[in-house]
This record gives sequence, structure tokens and C-alpha cells, in this order.
Amino acid sequence: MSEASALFQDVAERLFADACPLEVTAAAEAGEFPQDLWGALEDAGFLSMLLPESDGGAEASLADAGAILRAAGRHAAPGPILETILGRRLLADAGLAAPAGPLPIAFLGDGAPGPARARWGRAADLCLIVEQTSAGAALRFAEVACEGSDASFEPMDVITTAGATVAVAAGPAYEQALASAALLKSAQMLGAMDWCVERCLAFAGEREQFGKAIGGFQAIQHHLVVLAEESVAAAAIVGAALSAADDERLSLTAVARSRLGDAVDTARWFAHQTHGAIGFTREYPLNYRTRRLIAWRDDFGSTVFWRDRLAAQLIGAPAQDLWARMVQA
Amino acid sequence: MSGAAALRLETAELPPQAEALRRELRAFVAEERAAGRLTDPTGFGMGFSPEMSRRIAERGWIAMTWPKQWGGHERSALERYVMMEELLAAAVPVGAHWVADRQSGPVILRFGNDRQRAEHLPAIARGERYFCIGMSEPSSGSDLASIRSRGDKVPGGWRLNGHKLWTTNAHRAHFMISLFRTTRGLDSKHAGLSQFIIPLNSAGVTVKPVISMAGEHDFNEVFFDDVFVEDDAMVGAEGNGWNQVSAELAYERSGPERWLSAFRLLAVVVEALGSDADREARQEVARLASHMLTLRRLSISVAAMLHAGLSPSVPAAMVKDLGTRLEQETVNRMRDLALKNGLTAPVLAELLQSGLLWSPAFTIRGGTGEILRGVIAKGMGLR
Repeated sequence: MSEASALFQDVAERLFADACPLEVTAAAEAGEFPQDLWGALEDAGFLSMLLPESDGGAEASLADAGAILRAAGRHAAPGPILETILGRRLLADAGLAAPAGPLPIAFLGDGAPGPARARWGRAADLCLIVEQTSAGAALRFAEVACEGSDASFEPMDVITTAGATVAVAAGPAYEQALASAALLKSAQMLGAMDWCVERCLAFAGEREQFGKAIGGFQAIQHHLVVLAEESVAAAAIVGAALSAADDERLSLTAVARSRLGDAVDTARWFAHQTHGAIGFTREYPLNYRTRRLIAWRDDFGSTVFWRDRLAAQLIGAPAQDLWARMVQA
Repeated sequence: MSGAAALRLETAELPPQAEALRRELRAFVAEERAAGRLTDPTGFGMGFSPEMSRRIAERGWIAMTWPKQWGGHERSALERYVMMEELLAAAVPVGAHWVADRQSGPVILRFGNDRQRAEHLPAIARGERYFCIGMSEPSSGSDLASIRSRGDKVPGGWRLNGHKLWTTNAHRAHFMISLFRTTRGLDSKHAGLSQFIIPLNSAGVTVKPVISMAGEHDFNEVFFDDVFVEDDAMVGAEGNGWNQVSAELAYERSGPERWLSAFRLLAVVVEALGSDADREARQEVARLASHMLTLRRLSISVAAMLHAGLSPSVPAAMVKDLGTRLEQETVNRMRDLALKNGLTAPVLAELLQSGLLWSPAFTIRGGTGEILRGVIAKGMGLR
């Protein structure tokens, strides 16, 4: 990780530790927008971090934004944080000013799962639509109907009336925007997995059965090792994708999201199995991360979607060419 | 470093010169193929070809990171990583020099003296001298520190007695670096162990084949009956054997060998599937490819840590634990895809059978999965 990213992560970690105790997440799941947390993120400049300095941003890299979202995921921070960070950048790239406040996003096109939905659509008057067109991407604003949520229990609202196109971008703009969203979501998943590893390690030291801490049992140690392996493996591929150049990033995003799909499933199982029954309760904080892992795994393109993408790059290769296609070099 | 902090791994990037090297390696592979010296793999074993090893040495692709003084080429560990993945992905038979280049040479370079370096390193770098590794014994598999093979001090050298087992290539290597107990009666079984460089043509050394269930002769048992070696055969300090073996295993465990053998099977299946592969096949191919490419990133990170002078035994153990399980899973999934899609190419059938027969060895050799998880658990502060 670059020094800049590490610095962002440190600052973000402190911010979320202060401004995002579990009660904030629980209240958000009951429908209350996390206003104070939002103010703190805005004050810290995180929500505009991807904008040029001339627009009040920090000209931060995607990897820097990933560092913030990893911290957000670790704290199960609610609200359209990822969406606003990315949405402001997409509008700035199109030469448009972003509306003040939260900026929910929905993608329309390949990778959009069924009817368009936007996380926390209800938090803003209008939601940003990124639509795939034959020429590239079109940006539009849309209204939403307040309905629905997913396993995170945070709102996942339905897009109703989409307005006129406000900007178009040629070339692979849609693919790149979707890949950026998918990768930032990956960083958020890494954060949730980080928390699971740390909490499971601590829990295995605290919880006693048969007269000793359960972390002393080899079966539990092996659970924790597999959990850690999945988290380290996922971090390796997401880290590579976040710091890759634009053209390489599209392919690495598909690799990362495919691998993460399995990492998340495995990590969830081992985290819960290590905890036993207490981890299944609403009261114990584990579920705030594992429910988000369930919801986020298939956000901005499902695991199946990204595997189709990756397969398109590999299928049809003669045996001698597959290696070059895989490593893209 | 313990707990979750032991799990932090830096993302490493391959340097620009690595891509130039990659092109040279691919050109070499293409030439070898065109000249008929490189055939498609039909098995999961690593091919053994002294001629190929010498040609690879001529290109400067053995001893890549060692000092020029000892025949090396002073390139980075990340360039060496690119060499490994390009040659293994193309199934180049590198087995003759692989162990000497990967771990025996580095042990001599790091722990040996100048006489030993001068004696062995240039010959390894020329692709002419091959090594094997003497660790396991009949009563000491996972519990390596319980070895009984012993070295007794005699005037001018050491007298070695004992019995090593599962020694890959002992029947065709020139030297073995082997672990012996040189001081007995110490409180810790990890103390009193030392490594020796032993010429395999020494009087008193007997090599007997052990045929694997795959029907192949790769490993051996090696008997030492009053084998005399000179003082200078000891590599590193007397009693430092355990530390040296632990360092050596990080080289052995973190490389791309494991998942790249599975990659070659994937490549053959992808070719057989052709362009109209169905959705299920496409999903499976992409899933396994993403696991392999993720392990590749882990291997690159470990190579960067080795290059920085660190001993990344925890991430190295993770690469091997994840890599060997992936290798087994790939064989099973590819078998299923072949059956579902009626893929009957003879080369595929041979490769699949080899993979299925070799499978049990993947998660045993070089440290069982259970031992690897023990290493990782210790690094996480659980032991």
C-alpha cells in the first residue's frame, strides 16, 4: 500500500472508530440516515477525495478511496459512502457539479441485477444513473421509490422515473465506472473480513469450553487459519486490481470479484462456526459484518456476472495461449 | 509480529525489466517448441532434462539472484519469479536443476563459507550440478525435529549414519543437503541439528527407489552407513540446522509450482472445450483461473518479501496450503468438465489420470496441510 493510502486508512480508521459505533449502524438499519457520521465524512473531505484539487478534492487515487472503504467496511459503516465518492468523480469527469449531500448510484446495463436499485436512494432527491449505451455511458438523474432492502438491512430503493441524459462519455466509460464501483465494494468487503478475522481471534482467546480457551483446540486453530488465508488472498488480488493501470484494471476486477465471491462464502462460514450460537444473534456484532458480506458479494455485478466477464477473456484459447491471456502480459 | 498483524501483506508490482525478461522467456519457449525439444505435458511430475537445464543456464536463468562472484546474475527476486512462472506454465522440464537453484544454492550462499560457495555455486549456475533434499526419515515425517540420523565427530570430519526417505531425485542428483543430529541429549529436539552437503557417490551411500502410486520413480530412500565427510561438508554452524531448514522451506513453499501444474490441466481443458463452451463450463474455468491468479499475486508478494531480506514463513505456508488444495480441486473439477462435455482428447485423459493419481501427494509433500496450518496458527499467536 502506498504511503498516501496508508495515511488515508489511518485517518479513516480513527474517524469511523469515533463516529460510527455499532448503534449508528443499527439505527441506520432501522431507517435512520447516519447524519453525524455523514457530516464527519464530509468535513474530513473523504466524500470528495477523488475530485481534482480545483474542485475541492484531494486528487486521490482509486487505491486511496479503497483504503477509506476498507475502514468503512471494518466498522460496518452505513450510508451511500462508496456511491457518493464515486458519483461525484463521475460527474466531475463529465464537467458537471454534483448535487450537495448523498449521491446514490444505480447502473443500468450489463451487470445491473434485475430492476435498477440504488442503495440509500431515499437519502437524496435524485439518484445518479450510469447507463450503458452503444457509444459508451450516459449519465442521468432519476427518482426513486422507497422500498426494499437487502441482507445489510440498509435501504435498497427502486429507481422509478429516469430523467433526460445529462452527459455522455465515449469509449469504455461504463465498464470503467462499473469496475471502479465493484472494486471499491471489494475493499469494503475486505474491511468486513478484517473485522471477522480480528474478532474471531479475540473470541477464541476469550471463550472457554472444556476448561480452556477454544483457541487452544487444533480444530478451531485450523478454522481461524482458513479464515485468515481467505482474507489474505482476497486482499492480495483486490490490492493488485486497485493499484493497476486503467486497462489492466478491467480484467483484474473480474478476477478479484470472482475470487472474492468464494472468499466471502468461506470466511462467513468459518467466522460463524468459530463463534457458535452467539454469533447467530442480532445482539452480537458479528452479524453486522456477515450480513453485509452476503449483500455486498453480489453488488455492482454478481460473482456470476464477473465470472462470465472473465470467461469471455479465456474461453476459446488454445492451450499454449491461455497463460498469456490470464496474466494479460 | 503476531495476531492479525502477521497477516498484513504488501501488494508488490513486477518491475518494468520483468516484462522484457518475460518476452525473452516466451521467445525461448517458442524456439524450443519449434525445434521439437518441448512437448506437451502428459503428467503432473516435473520433467528432468540435463540438456534443457544447461540451455536454461546459458540464458542466465539459473542463479539469477546470486552474486556474479559465484556465477550468479544479480537480478531481483521478482525477475526470478517471472522466470519461474513462464517456464512452469509452458511445462519446460526444469526438474534437474530446480531444487539446486531454488533452495540448495541459496542455503549455501546464505549459510555456507566461501570454499563451499566456490565449489558448488558456479556449477549449479551452469546447470550442471543437481541437488536433492534430505529431511524426512521413516520415523520422522511431519515431526521433522525428531530425526535420528546422526553425525559423529571423527578426526578431520564427520561420520554419518542413518536413513532418509521420500528424497526426490536422489537417484539422479549429484549432492544432497541433509539434516543430521550432531549433538544428542539436549533439552530441545530442535537443537543439535546440522546440515551437511553430501556427495551421493560417497562410499556408504545407498539409494533405493520408492515407486509412487502413480507408478513413477521420483522419490527414494537413502541409507548412510558410516559415510565419511570432511569438516567442510557441514553447511552453516553446528547446531543451526533447524533455523536453516525453516528458512529453506520458505523458498520451497511460496513458489508457483503447485498451482501452475494445475494451470496446465486447465489450459488443456479450455482448448478442448473450444469457443462454444456452455455457461457452467465457463463459470468453472473463470472461477479456477481467478483462484490461480490470486495465488500468483500472493507468490509475487512473498518473492518481494524474500527480496527485501525477510523470512516470510507464514505467507509462504499460506501459498502452499491454498495452492495444493486448489491443485487437488482443479483436477476434480476438470475431470467433471471433461465428463460433462465429452472431452476425449488422449493428452487430456493422460493428464487427468496423472493428476488424480498424484493428488494425494500435493497436500503432503513439502509439509502437510496440517503442519502448514500449524505454522500459520503460530504466526497468528494461537500457539
